[in-house]
Amino acid sequence: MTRKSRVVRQVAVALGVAVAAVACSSDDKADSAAAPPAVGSIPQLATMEGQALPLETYMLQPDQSAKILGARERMVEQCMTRQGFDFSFDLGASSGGTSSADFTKSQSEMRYLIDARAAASYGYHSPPLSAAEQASPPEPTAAEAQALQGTDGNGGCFAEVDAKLTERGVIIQDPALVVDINKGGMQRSLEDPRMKDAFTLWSRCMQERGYAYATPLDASNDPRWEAAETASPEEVATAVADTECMVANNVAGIWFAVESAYQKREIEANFEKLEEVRKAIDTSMRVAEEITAQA
Amino acid sequence: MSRNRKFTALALGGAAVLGSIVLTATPASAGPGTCKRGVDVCLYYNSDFKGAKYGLSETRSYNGLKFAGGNGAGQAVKNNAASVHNMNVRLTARITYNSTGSQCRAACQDLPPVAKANLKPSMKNENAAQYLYNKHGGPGGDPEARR
Repeated sequence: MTRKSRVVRQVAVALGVAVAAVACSSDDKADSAAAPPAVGSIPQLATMEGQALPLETYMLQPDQSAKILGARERMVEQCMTRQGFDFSFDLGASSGGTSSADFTKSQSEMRYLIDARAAASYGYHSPPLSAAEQASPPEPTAAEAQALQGTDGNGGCFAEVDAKLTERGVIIQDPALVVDINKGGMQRSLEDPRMKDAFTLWSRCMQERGYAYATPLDASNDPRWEAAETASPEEVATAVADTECMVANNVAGIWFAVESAYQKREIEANFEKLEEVRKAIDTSMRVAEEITAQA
Repeated sequence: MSRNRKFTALALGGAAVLGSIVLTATPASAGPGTCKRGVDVCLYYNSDFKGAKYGLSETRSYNGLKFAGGNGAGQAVKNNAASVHNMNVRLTARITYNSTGSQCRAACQDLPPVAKANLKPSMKNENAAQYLYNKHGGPGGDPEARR
């Protein structure tokens, strides 16, 4: 085995296919004691489309996840076939729909609400789903479930396939380190003095329009919204005002710069581990394409 | 089961009629203290898939759910889940930190079918809702294929 493949393998083992989240988290305590990082130039953002925070390089993108998970499904199907089951993940054309754009966007494109058109149409809700999209896929039978994941949910064909994928350096989800930096940077940004200033301006703007919220997250998490199936006129009006105040004060631009700064600091502190993640993503894509081509 | 069904309708909006059809074919499952193989997203009160749990096979807010069957029984699921085992064999579970809509407002975490992760501590446990979707980005499946 070459050194490179050994490293990839070690990383894949460390990251774990099925148990990806336990180890190596970024150290919250040490970090929170540090001064807020310097912020670079602040972009003027009117849309989040195509915007990528620095961490995106190390995160599985929706199209990458789809390829990896598709290859994994082919392997699980082959395992099921060997055990005498006629089991397919392919549910026909309508299951391949991508009408819910939320699930094909990167996290950077979704985290700050500034899309006035979406706000005017759906408030804080997602676009309504078609009947086919609302349907749950068929459940596996008890025998299929046993073969797929074993008695405790940790065995079966999925475990067998994941062990093989891990051995080949494939990751199926973002490693814990990446998840922690993604969420941790957002968490820290909420306490950042520059964001607090931006939220104050946003809050004042909302106040002028008759809405009392301290931060944009308070507005989108208003319990009145989640209780409703679809957006009420009041929710739509609030979301529209929200996006206007976001854009008027360039809150998304400031937020993007502040979060970028926190992410960059974490990326520097964890550079070697993250480079292994980046390589693992490359490996995962290559292996997934091989598996799909052979299936 | 009917309770869960209702919740799904709530979360998905307009799903009520279709949901009842789907549910007829669905054996009772899930809920506080139990997680069903094949379909449930299993939320745990403690990290490393320990403690009280809640099995939830649908897209919905965690609002109002309470853990059962172990350490943390009776505690709210919302903002309290420390680890999650997605036992659904077909759908990815997106854990969001806002309750309304499937957007990853602020941040979110995707768990592929049959995968596990600890959720603590980077967002202070503020997990608010889950959305289930297939790998192509579409949320459910194809009822035609159900038969």
